[in-house]
Amino acid sequence: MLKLIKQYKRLLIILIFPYIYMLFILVAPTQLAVIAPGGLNQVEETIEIDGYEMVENFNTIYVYTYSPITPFQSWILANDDSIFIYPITERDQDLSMKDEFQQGQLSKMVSLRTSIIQAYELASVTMSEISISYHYEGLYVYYRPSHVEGLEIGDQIVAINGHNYSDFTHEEFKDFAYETEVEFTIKRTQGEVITYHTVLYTYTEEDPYMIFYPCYVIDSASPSFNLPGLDTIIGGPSGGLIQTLSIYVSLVNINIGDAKIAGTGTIEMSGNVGRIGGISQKMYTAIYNKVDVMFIPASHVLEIPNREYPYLIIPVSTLEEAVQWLNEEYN
Amino acid sequence: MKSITNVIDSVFRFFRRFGKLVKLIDKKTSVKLVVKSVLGALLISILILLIPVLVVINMFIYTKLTFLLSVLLVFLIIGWSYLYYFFYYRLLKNYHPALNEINTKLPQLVESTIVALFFMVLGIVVLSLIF
Repeated sequence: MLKLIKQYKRLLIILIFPYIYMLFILVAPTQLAVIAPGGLNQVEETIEIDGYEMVENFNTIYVYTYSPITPFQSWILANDDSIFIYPITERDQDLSMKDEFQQGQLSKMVSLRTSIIQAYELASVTMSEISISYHYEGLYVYYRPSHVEGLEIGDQIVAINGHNYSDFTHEEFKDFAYETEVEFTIKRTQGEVITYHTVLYTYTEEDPYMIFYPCYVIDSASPSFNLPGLDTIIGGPSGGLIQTLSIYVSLVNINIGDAKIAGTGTIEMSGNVGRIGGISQKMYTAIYNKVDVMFIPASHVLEIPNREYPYLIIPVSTLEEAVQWLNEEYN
Repeated sequence: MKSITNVIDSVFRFFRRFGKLVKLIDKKTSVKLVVKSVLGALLISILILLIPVLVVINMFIYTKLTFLLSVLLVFLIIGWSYLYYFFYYRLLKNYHPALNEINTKLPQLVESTIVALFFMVLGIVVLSLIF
């Protein structure tokens, strides 16, 4: 070995510096993350409704997120319009991979429940056989500073400073959570086991704000439903609008024909369509997947890349606007 | 029929020759220096392939190229087996100058091809499972 090294000594000395440099730019993490175009998921595979066939037209859009990227990746992606490079936020840095996965699964579950509630309520206006009952049951923890002990992503907060969720609306209850000093009563569900404990937290300026999702529990629904989409690894809340539309169209049986409809936007209990991340990458994903119609939150209209799109873009602020468009176009 | 027999015959002759050469090399080498050669060859071949492999892994960020890059990765791993055996025999000859008189090209090629075939089959199985 030494003989070989001696034989090629000069060449090795010349190569060692570029080698270490290359290694560094290919391995070292930067403070940057990337959102890249992804693909489509048929809503039909996510939700099953007893006695109803889910229409095949609706597709949610997912994008890929890489965090952190290497210097080499930041260079090769710098001039790619379809990819968004952004600095990693304080919150992102505070999250482990497990936390990020749990966040995706939690937001997906809340989004699917909200979609079911919204679609059933809207469909029940014209179809008396459709009904749903649900109640509010506090807050889900979506983000908490990782140093806060006893508080995990997905924990359910049922009381804050002695105020129980049952006496308040979601907005009122959430306000308590942002007080400077709080005592959370946590309900944690692990399989069949439910435990309760309290967590004390004092907000400091160094801490990013906590993020909560509403916890609505569906008591009964007719027709009954299953959510096989909960078992997949793809997470996130941005499929809310399209899921709701797909359930609604399947329940009231609007004939969409062969149109391939995709879209993005969260759905809130008020019926409002909320903002999402990676709108440009989702627009590109829709191009690559040859969709016919693309629903987007109206608040994103000015942010999408200025170019020709081979599909119809429908900006909406509420679920009602989207349903109205579908009724006018296809009914 | 005669030509098939000739082919089978030459294959058997080839492997008999390969077996004889391996035995000869084994006789002239010590375990300690074989281990040193293995470790040295592993180090050199990994260092050479590390940069191209890392470039390919970095390029996986282009999701459209995933399949192409996976195939490229399999080719690089196949290439690694040839590189490894090349350096293994090179180091072995350095440690045992007596081996310079033996034809090590044949065992080197046969062994690296066997390992390369193993990686190729493994690569095909993995790729067909993923895509």
